[in-house]
Amino acid sequence: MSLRRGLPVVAMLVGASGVWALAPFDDPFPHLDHEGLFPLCEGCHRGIETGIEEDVYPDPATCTQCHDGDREKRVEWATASRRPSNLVFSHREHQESVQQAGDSTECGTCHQYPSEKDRMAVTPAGAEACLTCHAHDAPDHLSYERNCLACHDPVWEATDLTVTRLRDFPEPDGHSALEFISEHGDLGGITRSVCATCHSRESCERCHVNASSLTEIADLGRDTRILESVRDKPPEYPEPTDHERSGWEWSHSARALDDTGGCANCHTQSSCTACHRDVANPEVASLPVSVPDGPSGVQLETESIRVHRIGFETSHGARAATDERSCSGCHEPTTCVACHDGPTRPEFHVGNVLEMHASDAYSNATDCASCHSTEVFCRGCHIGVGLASQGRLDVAFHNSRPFWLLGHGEAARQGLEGCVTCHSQVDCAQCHSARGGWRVSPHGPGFDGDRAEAANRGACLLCHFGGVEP
Amino acid sequence: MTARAHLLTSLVAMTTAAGGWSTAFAQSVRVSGVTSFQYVEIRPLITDSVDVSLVAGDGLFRRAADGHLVRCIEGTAFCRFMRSSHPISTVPATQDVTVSVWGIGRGIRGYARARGRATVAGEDSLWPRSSDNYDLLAAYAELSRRSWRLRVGRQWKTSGLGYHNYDGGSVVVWTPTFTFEAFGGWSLAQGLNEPRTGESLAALESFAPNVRALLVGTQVSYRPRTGSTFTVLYQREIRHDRAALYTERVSVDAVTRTDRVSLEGSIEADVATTTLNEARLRAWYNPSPNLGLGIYARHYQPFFELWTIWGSFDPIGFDEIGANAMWRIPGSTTDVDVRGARRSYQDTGASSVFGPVRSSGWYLGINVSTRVGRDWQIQGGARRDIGFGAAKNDGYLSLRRQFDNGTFFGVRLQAYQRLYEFRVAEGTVLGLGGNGAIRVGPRVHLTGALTTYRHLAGGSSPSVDWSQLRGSLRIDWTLGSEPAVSGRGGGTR
Repeated sequence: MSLRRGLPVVAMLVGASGVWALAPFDDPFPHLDHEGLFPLCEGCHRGIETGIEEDVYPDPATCTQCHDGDREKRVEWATASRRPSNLVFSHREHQESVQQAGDSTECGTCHQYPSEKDRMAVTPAGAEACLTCHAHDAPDHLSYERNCLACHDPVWEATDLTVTRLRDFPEPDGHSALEFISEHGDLGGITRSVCATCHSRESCERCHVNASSLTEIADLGRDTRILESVRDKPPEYPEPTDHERSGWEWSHSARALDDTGGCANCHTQSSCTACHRDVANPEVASLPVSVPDGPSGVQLETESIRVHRIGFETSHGARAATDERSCSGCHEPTTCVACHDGPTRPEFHVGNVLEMHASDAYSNATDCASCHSTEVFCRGCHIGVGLASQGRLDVAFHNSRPFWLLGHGEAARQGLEGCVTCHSQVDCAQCHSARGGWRVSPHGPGFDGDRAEAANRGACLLCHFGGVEP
Repeated sequence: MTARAHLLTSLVAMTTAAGGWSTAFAQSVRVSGVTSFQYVEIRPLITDSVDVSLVAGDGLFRRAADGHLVRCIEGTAFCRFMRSSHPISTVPATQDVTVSVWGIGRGIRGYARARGRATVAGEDSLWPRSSDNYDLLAAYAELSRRSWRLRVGRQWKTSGLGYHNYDGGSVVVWTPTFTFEAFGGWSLAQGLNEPRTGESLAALESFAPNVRALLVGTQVSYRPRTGSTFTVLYQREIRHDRAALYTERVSVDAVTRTDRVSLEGSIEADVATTTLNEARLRAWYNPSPNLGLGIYARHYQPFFELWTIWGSFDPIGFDEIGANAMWRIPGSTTDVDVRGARRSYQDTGASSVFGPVRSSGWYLGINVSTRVGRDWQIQGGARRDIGFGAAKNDGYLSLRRQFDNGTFFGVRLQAYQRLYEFRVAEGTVLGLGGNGAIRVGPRVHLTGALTTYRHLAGGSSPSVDWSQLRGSLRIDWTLGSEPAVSGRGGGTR
């Protein structure tokens, strides 16, 4: 016996009186006023037992047997009809299954008159009535552990229900809490059996930017009433707890790579491309894109994101060298070249660097050579401003050192990188060449001539012989 | 063709070609550009002379009546000296165009960046390479999968040895913990985007190479966990006739971090000469969200390519230790950044007839920034850098009004002193300028600055005058999908 067919629910009149959980009962028929007149429920509600729909409620002619204007005043009574419901329930089938089980029920079991004496004090059967016998299936009626479809139609099939009725559906405890919104995906596999009782595809599409690609959502039907009821509710994207962790901006890559599909629940490609400029990244490309009239997805305030600490732009060398892939996740090559080969970005050097760069250059505080060719950029500019040697080696520039030429060795060894921004090799070879001039050896005590010759003999021959290209 | 024509031609040609091609063949394309202009006013040093009869005293160096230190050679009628000439100016312009194309196929991307240069006003050739009108910085095709990437064309290499480009191919293989890369091709000179045999180097260096070099290299990275990476790189540049090496270098870089501590270590070495060029260890500790403390130690010795004679001059290096602290005052938007360093040079093994040069140096600096309300930002700072070769003191104060969408306007006041390396000159320079940025629509961003400097001559020498005017204007623009990173900031050189 299927659960759907064999539910041994005792609430014989529940189908006639409405769905579970209703507002205070407004009895259309004054049952209490007729107490004592009707010994059996079946007298008026024969159809409950026979399954004949027309006999579920008494015919008006039945009333006129007493309310004929003589014995009792006339009354206006149009026979009632079943209330719109999403309940899947047949009194007859239920009764049969109960009997087959060797049990018995009475109407009051579900319709809850307090005693046989007060049995006309009927109330609609609520879900609680069902659970008096079926409580073993789940801790409570709205538990996610229950198969709702055992008793209820999916909401899109309960076409009799109005939008107002749908909005009045009871809400499970904690259903609106941010934790539930964050974690409801983990419930797993209940979309059709549980969620579908109240939710159609439109419910999910309010927030999920990847709704069209999720089979669980695709399993749901569509329902314009749900669309109407959620139309004005903005999407909600509570921040998962791990996102709140310090440094999440630069440490989310592992999760993003392992669970890109999870990201896609809330994030479109624009979430990534707000910072990540690697548009060819397959993970980024796998995320959905925003569509008109669709959910917005998480909107990042990228201006407020500080991924790198202060000063990172001049101290990122080791990180860039070790993990270029991480860099390229956010930065296109344009980012690097903007500074490293960047006459287009003069603001990198603030505050008259032309005048003030000498001390930085001597201390190599910023690696000038990582952006500038010493021979071309530095010397080219120094020539333009009259600082560089242009052949003559008089000491006019080094005017604080009267005997500069005779004693510049110490300074040259200590700051040779600075020397070559003004002097070409020819300048120094005028004195430091074995081919002529003063023949002053520039080599220090630790100079390994054999190794230098093995690496580039041509450089040696510039001073020691002639005519060989370096 | 005039300079303006060069620039206009560059802009139109590069943009049209990029946009047209990409529109025709690619699903997605982004064309972005940076158009920049600088106004640079300079007072070059020139040689001047004064009649020896107008100079008092005797000896090789004497002081002229106006304070100039002059050089008088016995028996000549004139003494010579150097002084600043009248101001000359130049307006170098640069046009960069970047094209990124994707969506052609899974993991396929094309990328190119080209540059046009010209001097649009003022002195030609005053600004480096302004007469070199065209450059191709990069142009490559890329095929990428989750575990590997193949790239062919002119491309950049980022490594512990710096940032340079080359013409060739590279293949990278990623595993969860290892990354392997091999690359090679025709070598290009770092910072030039052209071979060492190109005109730029030849124009300034008589002994520039005239044989192109091949570049080969390989890199292995080990990443045991997120935030920790260890990388070793070896690369060499060799003449294509294999007659000599231009460079042969290795680098080792390692980084690791936890929630509060990060460590970085780097080594660069010249394999050919067995020289340790740089060794650096840096530690950073965040005891609280509002406080960061860092220390570092490094050894530095300059690297020279093997085709030069400079390495044979036995340059020495220095050792340096430094520290910095960054503190955000709790409950405020005020940040304080203090840093300092001290370095000491190795023994040169050479003597000086004019006395020893300074063998140590130190640095101390502080920066403070705060926000007033949501829109106003005030920054100030001071530095003192005393070292071998050059020294400086400087301070600044800036005020900026920030608007939405990257728009701002600000003023900046600056004062500095510097000592000139191995020559006599001194003075204080005051600078006052304004800067700003404004977004014009969603895809155009303008950034500009203008600063005037006034040299308050003092001390013993009036030979240098740094009263000058500087300005810059930059236009960042984007065509196509996914606008690129917008420009921020502003300043003057």
